[in-house]
Amino acid sequence: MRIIFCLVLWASTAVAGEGITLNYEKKTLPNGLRVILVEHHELPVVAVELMVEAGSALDPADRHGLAYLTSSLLLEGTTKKTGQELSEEIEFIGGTLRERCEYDFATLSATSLKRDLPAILGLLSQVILSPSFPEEELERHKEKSKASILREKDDRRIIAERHMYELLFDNHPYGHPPIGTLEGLKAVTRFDVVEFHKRYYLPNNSILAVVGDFDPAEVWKGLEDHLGEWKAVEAHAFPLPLSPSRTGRKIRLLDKPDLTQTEMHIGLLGIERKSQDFFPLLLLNHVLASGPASRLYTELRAKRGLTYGVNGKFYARRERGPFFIKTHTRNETTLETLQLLLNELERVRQGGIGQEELEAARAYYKGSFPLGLETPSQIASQLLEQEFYGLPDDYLETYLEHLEAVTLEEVNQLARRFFNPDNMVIVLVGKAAEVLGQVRGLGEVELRWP
Amino acid sequence: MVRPSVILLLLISQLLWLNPNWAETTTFGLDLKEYRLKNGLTLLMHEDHSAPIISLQVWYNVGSRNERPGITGISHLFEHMMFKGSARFGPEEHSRLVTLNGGNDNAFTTQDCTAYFENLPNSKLELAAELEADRMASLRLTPETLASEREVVKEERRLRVDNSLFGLLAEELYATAFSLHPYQWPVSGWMSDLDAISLEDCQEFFLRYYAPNNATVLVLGDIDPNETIRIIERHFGPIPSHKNERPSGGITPETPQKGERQSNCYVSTQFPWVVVAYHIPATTHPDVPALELLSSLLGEGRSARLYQKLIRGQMALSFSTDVDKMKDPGLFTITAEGVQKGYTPEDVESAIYAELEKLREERVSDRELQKAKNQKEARLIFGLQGNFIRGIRIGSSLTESGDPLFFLKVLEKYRQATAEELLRVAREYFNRKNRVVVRLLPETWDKGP
Repeated sequence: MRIIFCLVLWASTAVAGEGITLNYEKKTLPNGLRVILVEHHELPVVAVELMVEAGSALDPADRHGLAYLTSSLLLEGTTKKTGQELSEEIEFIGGTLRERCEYDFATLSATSLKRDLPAILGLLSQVILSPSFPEEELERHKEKSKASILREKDDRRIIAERHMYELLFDNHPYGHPPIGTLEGLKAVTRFDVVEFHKRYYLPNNSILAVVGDFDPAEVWKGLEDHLGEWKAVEAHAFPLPLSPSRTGRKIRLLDKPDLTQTEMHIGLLGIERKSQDFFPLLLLNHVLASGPASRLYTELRAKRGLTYGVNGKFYARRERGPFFIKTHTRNETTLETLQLLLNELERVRQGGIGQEELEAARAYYKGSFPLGLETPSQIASQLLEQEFYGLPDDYLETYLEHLEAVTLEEVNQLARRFFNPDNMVIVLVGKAAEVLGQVRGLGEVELRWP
Repeated sequence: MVRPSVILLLLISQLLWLNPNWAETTTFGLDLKEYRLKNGLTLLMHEDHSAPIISLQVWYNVGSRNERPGITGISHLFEHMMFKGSARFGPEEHSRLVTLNGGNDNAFTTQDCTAYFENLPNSKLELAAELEADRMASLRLTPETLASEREVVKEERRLRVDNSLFGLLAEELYATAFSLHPYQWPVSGWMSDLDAISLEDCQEFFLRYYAPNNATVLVLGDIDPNETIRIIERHFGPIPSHKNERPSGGITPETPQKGERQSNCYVSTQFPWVVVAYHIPATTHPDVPALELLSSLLGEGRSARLYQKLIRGQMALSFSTDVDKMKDPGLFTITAEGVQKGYTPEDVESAIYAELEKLREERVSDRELQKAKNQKEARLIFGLQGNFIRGIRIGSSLTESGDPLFFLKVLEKYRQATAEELLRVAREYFNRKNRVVVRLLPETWDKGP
């Protein structure tokens, strides 16, 4: 049995803010796999998550959907077991094993009772190291993805989102959804999947988190037994092209005549995860569009009952991700709602926010910081994100200081730059017969069918 | 009047099927302290000092099952009104204060209950108690706030039901399956009732159901029980209890179904959806754990029987199985969300019936039964992570069964279940007379007289 020497080893007991202590260990194995252990003995359960830089942004331009298929097929069989055997084995011990493919990364996550951790680590590593990618499973998954893409056209929210990404990102790797496109899926072969796996599923391109009720010594031993053979490959940086910086103002209306409610999304190019604007944008968005005290919630819902919900959200990724504000209203009030939304954006751009608003937002994030670090899986996902996006090691420890440091001037400068009306994309999904006439006055409206 | 009683539940599992090298005993407990105020309010506390946060939840024993035709949806509309101001706090101020203190708050309404919650840093327990007590004691109901909130609630209905395939299917299912019991109408209420509900209806609803003797306060997290009792007493203690004016036995039970019920809805969808459902008893009935195990066998995970048939067999895009856990008898449901091209809903239904027939005919193997038991157990333990979720489990359990720890006690029932019992239960409930089938079909299929 090979012994794994740890290149870097330190046990972190970070104190993150008043009264919060995070106990975790972080190491990098000789093959480059970064490992985070978070012990938590309250319940006899364990969760393991492997995050691999193998997301849909790495799809070849003519193979949209390849990353997603590769990740889905991991669970459909290894050189030792069929997909059916794998599922039965893991489900028999009450465990779960799931894959997920996002824009920047793919994950494999497993849960089990404490006593089954060795079994779970064994299965997880088998899946990652020796998937068999059966031809017939690839065909089945391609069909499934194609049908899912068609079914999306029954869901107004997904329709809006897909068109928003297309308008914001165009040909950039973030422009197509992880599930892929009909044309892209058609082109994918088993060879592509095998090559994608070989190229990106590398230990030095991955981070593993183990969280819950375990004995660290046993885990290190398990990792040594199971993942010691996972070979690193040199030169594994896969930079993405820069996200576009301008979109121009666009309005697209998707006609779905059965709807009695218009779905509306306003989108802008947001920020990358490492951006200096992260904290100012977090606070700005809170004041404007997030939570039950935001300006938009107050104007649209609390005062006027125009909508059930309005929410602003940004996805800070490896490269600049999107910023969205989403809401919905009945057909008749589409223009009124949209106009109010745009007015509020213009108001914040020109006038900024007030000191009191900033302090309220800051108080919210300071106070809610421990709420986001309650369960071991929350802690692990924070640490994974920090590690994946190359944030400093003391990121969580200094989180509150970062919040404290944001000035009103910074936020208002950002608001001026950010909410540029000439760069705003509006996507509406609704009954064109009732909506198109209302919104024509806002600019050129491109009418499309989902 | 301090009379905290301790309910300690210790669960021990000895899973002998394991490789003996791994064999270990899984033990966990959930320690709940109970305290009752003079005005009838029940306080339940669970301490967990692993993070400096708390969750305070107020569970009112009222939901859409307590409504009547003409004012359906009032429980949910009322839940919204609870955020529109009380004696000491203005409209929306409740949430604003919670947010300002780093917390989040919200509420939800089901057929059986209405619950409100605040998740906050541990130092803010008193704030949560103050806010909740004030609106229990002195909600401000005005024509203006009702007018705007009525529109919000109608928007929510459009969002969740009228423009949602999931919502449409669920609404039609319960409207078809129940013709007497209030479960026949949706929690969001019928649109015409949402327009009709008056301020007087709201006032009457408040007086009847929003009282300390019709509520349970749950406090979980980094708390000191004695201090918590003092805080809850201070804020909720002065609220007078209501005389029990609630109509006794005012809810008509559903009579046994005499034959299969079906409904076809023509909606805007490319792929048909279908739900096959069977009437089942209320949560506390001894057959429910066996039904839950059957649901696992059929639908939990990729090794489940229907996953093999419907998903690997490429008949449907996705599917789910579910067992209603309600105060009164509900449904066992199997839902295929998107029937694939090349198949009809009837093909999918036949495939489902064939699997159910097998459960009525053949004993499940020991290994498959054990798998289902292990899945239920693991899922239950995972469901206890975090104060908020734990509170939701406890509150739901209390609502469904009257016992906050009923959901843990069921674990023992799963463990004792036998293949014979599953056979008997499958035969008893999975029969045609007891069946309800609802389909969502593309509008173009609606042809002929």
